[in-house]
Amino acid sequence: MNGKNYFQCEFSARSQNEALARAVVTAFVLPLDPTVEELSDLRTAVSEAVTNSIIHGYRRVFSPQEDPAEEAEVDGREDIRCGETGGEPGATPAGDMEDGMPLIRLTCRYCGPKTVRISVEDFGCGIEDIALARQPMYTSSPELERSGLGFTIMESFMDSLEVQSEVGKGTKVVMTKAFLPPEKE
Amino acid sequence: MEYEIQTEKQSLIVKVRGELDHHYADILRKKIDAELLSVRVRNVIFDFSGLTFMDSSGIGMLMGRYKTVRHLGGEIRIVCAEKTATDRYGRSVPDGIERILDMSGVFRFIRRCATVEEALKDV
Repeated sequence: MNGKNYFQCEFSARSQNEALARAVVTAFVLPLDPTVEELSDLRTAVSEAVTNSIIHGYRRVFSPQEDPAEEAEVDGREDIRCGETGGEPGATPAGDMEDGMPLIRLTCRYCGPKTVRISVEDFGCGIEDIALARQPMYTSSPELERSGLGFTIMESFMDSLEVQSEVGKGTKVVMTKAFLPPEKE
Repeated sequence: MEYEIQTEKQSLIVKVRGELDHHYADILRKKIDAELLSVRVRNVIFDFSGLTFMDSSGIGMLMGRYKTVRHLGGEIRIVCAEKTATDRYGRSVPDGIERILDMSGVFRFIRRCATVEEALKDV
């Protein structure tokens, strides 16, 4: 199936919405007939991008000092990592808010024969050194038990990955994937 | 994600089913750490047989538990057969979870076992 299609949505930067983003992207690409494996790659890459936005894009803007994991209830808790408690005075995200939470924008587009382009955008703190952030095993947040594999996974599970970021404005990750056999086989 | 935590001698057996992302990795991490504090165990055996999705947050959670458990003088084991998927040519290839586990290098310091029983004997 070819043709064109486009979809955009915004959701609040809560960790429970990582599953929502995966589900939405799955529904959007199903007409392109991906294999189970390709679909799983795509879902993983989207999950990494959304997690990055929540953890890295918005964390510093909102609650830089306390360990957000400390007082949170284990079950059914809100992701107070970027919660309503607010951060330092003046530290507001560049984008809109909904229910006191910053937003993540997910855009999906068919961009060629059985090919999809997906972007995940936040309006948080931005990345100072993109090349460093993209290095395998690098993490700016070792205290949060991050593995530093996010960008590496996006890169190897998708056909292309582009990272645009501006400090204080936000970060946009653009990825493409074709649901076709590789050319050489 | 659904999980079940059991204690067997000195080991915590953590069965995880479904999708392990950042949201659920945080929940699981707290549950396990609470158990490690309150029960006299030192090993953690993760049964990933029923896991259908995992991203890098799962790796972070594993590495964090590895550090904690080593402090207690214990070991971590991962229980699951090699996870595979079928590509466009009908060939069996490692699936996403398998590739992430490989990429992260966790198998360099966490041994993998075929069954929980084997893992219990191994720790």
